[in-house]
Amino acid sequence: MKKYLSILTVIALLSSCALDDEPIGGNVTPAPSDFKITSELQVSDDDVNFVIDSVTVAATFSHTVTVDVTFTGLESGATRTFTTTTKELKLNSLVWNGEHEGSFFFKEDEKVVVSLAFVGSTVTSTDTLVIATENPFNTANTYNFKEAGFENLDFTNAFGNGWFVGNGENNPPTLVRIPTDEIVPPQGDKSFKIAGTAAGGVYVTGIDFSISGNFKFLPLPADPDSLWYNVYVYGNGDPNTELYVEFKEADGFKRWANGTAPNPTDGVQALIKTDHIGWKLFSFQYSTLNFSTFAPGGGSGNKILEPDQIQAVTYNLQTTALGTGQYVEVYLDYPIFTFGAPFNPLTFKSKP
Amino acid sequence: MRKIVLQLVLLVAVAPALYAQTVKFNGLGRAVVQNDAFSDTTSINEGRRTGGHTLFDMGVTVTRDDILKVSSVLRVRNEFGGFFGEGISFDFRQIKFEGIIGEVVKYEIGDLDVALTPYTIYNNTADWADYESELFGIKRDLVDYENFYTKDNTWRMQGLNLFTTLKFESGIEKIKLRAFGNRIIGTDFVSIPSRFVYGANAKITQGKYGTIGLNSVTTADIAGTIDASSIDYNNNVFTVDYNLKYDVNSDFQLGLEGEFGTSSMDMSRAIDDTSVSFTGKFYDVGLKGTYAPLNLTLGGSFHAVDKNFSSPTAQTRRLTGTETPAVFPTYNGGLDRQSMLWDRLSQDQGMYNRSISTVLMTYNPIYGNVTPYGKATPNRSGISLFAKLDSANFYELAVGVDLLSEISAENDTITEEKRSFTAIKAGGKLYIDKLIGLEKQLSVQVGFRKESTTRDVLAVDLSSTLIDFGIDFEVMRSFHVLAGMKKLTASGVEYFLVRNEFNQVTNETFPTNVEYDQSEDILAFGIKYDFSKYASFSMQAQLVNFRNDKDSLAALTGASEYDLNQIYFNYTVKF
Repeated sequence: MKKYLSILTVIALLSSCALDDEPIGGNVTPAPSDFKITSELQVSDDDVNFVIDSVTVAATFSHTVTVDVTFTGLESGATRTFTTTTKELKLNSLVWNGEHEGSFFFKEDEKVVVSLAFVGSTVTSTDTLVIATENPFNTANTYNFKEAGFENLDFTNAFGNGWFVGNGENNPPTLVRIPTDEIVPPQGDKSFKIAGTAAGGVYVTGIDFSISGNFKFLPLPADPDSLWYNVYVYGNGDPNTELYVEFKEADGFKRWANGTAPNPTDGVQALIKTDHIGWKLFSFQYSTLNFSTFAPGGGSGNKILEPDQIQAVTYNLQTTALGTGQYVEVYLDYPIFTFGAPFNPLTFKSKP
Repeated sequence: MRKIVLQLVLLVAVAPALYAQTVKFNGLGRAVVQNDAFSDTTSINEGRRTGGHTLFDMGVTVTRDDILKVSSVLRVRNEFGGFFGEGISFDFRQIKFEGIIGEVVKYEIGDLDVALTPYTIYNNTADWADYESELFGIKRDLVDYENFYTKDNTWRMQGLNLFTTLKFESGIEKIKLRAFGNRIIGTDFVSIPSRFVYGANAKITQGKYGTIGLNSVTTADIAGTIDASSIDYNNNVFTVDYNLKYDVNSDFQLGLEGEFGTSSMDMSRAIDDTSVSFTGKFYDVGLKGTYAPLNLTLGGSFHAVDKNFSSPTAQTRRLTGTETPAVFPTYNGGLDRQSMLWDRLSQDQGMYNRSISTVLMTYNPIYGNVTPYGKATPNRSGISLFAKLDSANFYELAVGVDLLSEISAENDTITEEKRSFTAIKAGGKLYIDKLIGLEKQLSVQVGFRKESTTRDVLAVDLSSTLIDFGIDFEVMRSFHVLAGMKKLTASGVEYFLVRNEFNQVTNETFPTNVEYDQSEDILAFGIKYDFSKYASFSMQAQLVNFRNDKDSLAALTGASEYDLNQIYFNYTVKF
């Protein structure tokens, strides 16, 4: 046993020496006790239109310190914080384009409090501004349904032209497909609720959006590697709830995506399992999506990913629980296509 | 589905007669009904809800010739309000096969509960609850059962275990060998490959002097399960654990126990062609002495874990502390409600994590800031002391102290000052009935934990106190009147680091400064009746008050304060 103890001791000594003690994280400079603000915080614009403009701030301090500049929407609760170490916040050294952290977007006509906070000090300074027009996230790198004129597809307004309820709704009173303000949505005033009670199968209910008329397609790039589909989804923690988002690519000579001969259609599917609680952003690179195998519903195309051939978008709510009577629900908000990268509300700028 | 269930039941029923095999049944049945009332400062979200469920987990174990054992648990669950079959769900909660190959190797396949050591595979508890009232314990047991958390700190995984034992004539007594492989994440067939945990363990036993273990655990993505993975991850942990003992005399025993080891992590991300690799070390040396006549154990240990020690299966948390609870998820007109202490012991669905995270998960420091990732918490070193006294069923006492500090300073390359962490945990249970000779049970228990975190230059000063109190009085045979209390207070300032997908804090990353001034109170009163050792019924009322005077959304809502009161009925049968 002494032999084992000796070996143990040697290994332990070798193992214990030279633990890595290099500091981690960005260097923070705290405020000294005599720290003060020598020039109060000022915002560059108190009524900002983020379509054409941005906001910057100015202030000076008695010492070089690490400072948090935080923009907080008083209605949405949205926030954006910049952290820097400086003695002076010069105009245009910090530029806010209306982007946000977390799930919630700043709103139009919203009052925003801008505040300074310093590491190691309770000194603070605040100013306010109003957002005349919010960041539309409408750039060369996004395809924003609302900005492109498809407000229905954006789930912002009422159920209307272009939308169709899904098949199999044999028990309409249990099914819900409405814009709603039941819960605070990430963007705008409403989200879209799809809910229902299973009637014995997997499929519960769904909605389709088709671009009216033949030969019309969503103006998306042909390269599936460069395209992302993003959508905010509210889950209630139910592991049995699933949402299939399906993009219908028209492949037939009539160029009309309905999946019946002679109009073969590819159904390209993104599966969203809503076992989370609260809002969550889901992003899918188009080239990673799978084809539907259900021929009448979109499994009859050429099996080539062609996002520039998308004529319709379908949202199907499903349950994986067996038996009847399973109530499932999902809320959707702010679907957006992005080019080159998944949607990130912090890095996508409002202007080209 | 019902046909399938019926066929399964019939098969199990007739199987013994057909094959002369042993069939054993076990099960757990439960009926829970609760009524919740919620009120906040705005009165917007005042509301009530009634919920609950009935369920039955039927376990069937079939054994044949001592070489094959098949066990399964079929769950039937009906949510409160479901009638005549509406709302019923059926699930297989567990399927496991066990057997022996060539009378040498034992195997297990299927749903497995896996644990190894505190630095390799270990499911740390979310909260300190050693001396809480049984009223809280009833609900916490339900949460643990639903999430497959066990007293052995196991993770529920799907995979394979292989065991064998080598016995020796002299020197060492035996070596137990174990190899395992389990899937922890399934592929989504898009960008996430299947992720597995696999490894081996050798436990060397020398009867007189104790055991030494060699442990190897790898967490890795399996290439080829999808065409193009967004992430390729590989983490290896190798450790040696030891538990050695020496009998000084018949009354006094000394023990040396601990673990040391290393980790190495490689990870690459396809989207920006980034790859990183890190190595980390730790060691843990403990000494304890046990004096048998008094049932007294005194001990202490020193441990150090460097900032890059990575062991996902030991560092993954059950909770992040920022979860939105399923019961009353919003307050004050639609704002997300953050989970509180009461939610942490009450929410059996949706809140708790069952999967392994390769990034250190966030946490709320008021519920535990000293070792948020268990013993394997990175960037900690220091000593821990403890004492336990158990007086022949009259009382039990325990006290422990952790005096830790960081190894690497955070966000300060100039002074490199590190945080200091102190935790004091004490608790006891007094069996008054034994002391005064009562026939029926009467016991009181008290728990106390105080944590503080301090740092001078980048000022951190966070303290939290958790107090537990419980009474159990058996007024009639098997009929208990129970009361309990939990009180949490926390105040001060702490900084949060944000880690990237590679589990790293970069130089471009600045901490978030958060102020706390929070109090939570839970009062509970109830009764419990034990029908037999197999079945019990309990009924309780819980009164909860939450107040946060430093809510970051206070500018929108005013102080966050709300009350949540609950009436809770629980009937449980186990056999």
